[in-house]
Amino acid sequence: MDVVPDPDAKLVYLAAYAGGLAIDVEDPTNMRLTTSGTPPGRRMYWAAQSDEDLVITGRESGLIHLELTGAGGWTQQGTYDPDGFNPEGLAWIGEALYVAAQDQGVVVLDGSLAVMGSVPGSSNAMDIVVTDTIAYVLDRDHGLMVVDVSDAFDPQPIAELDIGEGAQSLAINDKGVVVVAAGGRVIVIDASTPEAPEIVADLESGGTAFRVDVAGDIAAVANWQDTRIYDISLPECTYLIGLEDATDVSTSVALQDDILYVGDWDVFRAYQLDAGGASPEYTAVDYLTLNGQDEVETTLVVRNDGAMELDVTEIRCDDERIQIAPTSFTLAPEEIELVRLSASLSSTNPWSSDCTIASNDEDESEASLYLDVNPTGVAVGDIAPDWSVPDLDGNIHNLSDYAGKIVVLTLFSSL
Amino acid sequence: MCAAELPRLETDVWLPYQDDGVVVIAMSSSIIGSENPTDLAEYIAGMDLTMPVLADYSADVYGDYAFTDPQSADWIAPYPREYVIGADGELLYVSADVDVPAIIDVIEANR
Repeated sequence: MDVVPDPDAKLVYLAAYAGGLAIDVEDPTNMRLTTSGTPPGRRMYWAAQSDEDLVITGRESGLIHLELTGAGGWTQQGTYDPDGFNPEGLAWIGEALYVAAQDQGVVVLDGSLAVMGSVPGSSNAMDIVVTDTIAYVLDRDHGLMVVDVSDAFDPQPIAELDIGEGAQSLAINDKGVVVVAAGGRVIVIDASTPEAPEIVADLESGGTAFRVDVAGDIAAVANWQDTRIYDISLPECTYLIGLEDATDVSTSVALQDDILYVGDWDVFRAYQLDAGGASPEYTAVDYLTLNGQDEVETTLVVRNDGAMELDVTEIRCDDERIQIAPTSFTLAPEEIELVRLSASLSSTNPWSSDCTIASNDEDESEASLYLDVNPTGVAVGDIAPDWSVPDLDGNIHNLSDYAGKIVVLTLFSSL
Repeated sequence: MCAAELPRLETDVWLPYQDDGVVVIAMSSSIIGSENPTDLAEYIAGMDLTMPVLADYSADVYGDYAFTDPQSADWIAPYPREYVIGADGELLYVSADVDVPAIIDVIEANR
């Protein structure tokens, strides 16, 4: 997922699992999805905006160019998705669109998505950011590449810096401090001298650092299981000032003015900065569930087993995506209430929530309940769903090919 | 995210049981979407695996085979995920931990 704030329009654009989305954030405590109908693309991972042009990319849909028409609307202008194209991060540089691509490098397109060239030397690019006339490329083969883009259609590499393995994305502030999200590490680079970038801090991320945004002296890292906020005012002494647990997986962040936006898979969140205390703190102010496609529901049966009237005053769950009705009621002895719990989800990722039932029960005025939400998924006893997946030579294997054998299946990620 | 368990599954499960009606499959299934064949091949190159290695680039299997991890109420670990499927297709074992002895127990009980 990618989060791109558009401060002039008071919108945020998302490259999301469901496709390209636009969110009205004029009031960050009351965000609204403005996209209706079928979003463009599917499983989109990166976005970049320049005035009226928004481009989103993903492995499945390739590159889609949208023209913004105001109030969160757009029209689709064109697509670029040749065979073998694996687009990652991208950036507009004047009239040119620089797209980092795996196993390829940075390809340079013009506004009509015609290929104009590439960044010399880059061969396996993950992300790119630009400031003034300098672009910074994360290349899995060449590390951090510093490129002079004063002529946007004639990029000139200036320097390379080895930053090790696992780099995912990068961001830069106005002092030339580059922060790289690199899986198990967060790397801070002083790039204020373009010819001589230097690593000044290399921290353990404590998770899987996936995306990063930087604004002034603050760096925010989407760290998969949590979101981390760092103070980079003294880059060589970068330190952690905040940590927010993810609901699902924290996969993208953006800092805009005093708001931190976090893409947490199914849930888009806003946090407000409070800079008044000893150190900056972020407080959650709103969340938005993204395009519910799956409805899951279950019924909770509440029964009064006692001899007196039972007043249930509140039923609440820690996860705000769960809707509960009714949440308060009175039951005579032996009477039953059927409480409907439902949740609307945009992906198949399972999650869990703690819930509490508050009542006038003398022994247990706050009873706990633990819910597993598993919209499509498996459990012991189910028939394992069939699949059809290639090996590294391209031959297709189906689970059904192995009928009659015991199959030990291990799922892993090489990232 | 690591696949530290793959060499162990190779030596402790695949090699001993492959002629005994058991197949061990390592499937890369990344929901991030930025995994590609070259990186994956490099990643497993040093492991000398003879078990089948498959690549679910669209992460469909990740979704279809999702489960909540009873050990960690607050945090559902996406990887690794271990499954044992019986000869008749029924799921016998599902876990977010790499517990090779437990996997072998399940195999022995169902052979």
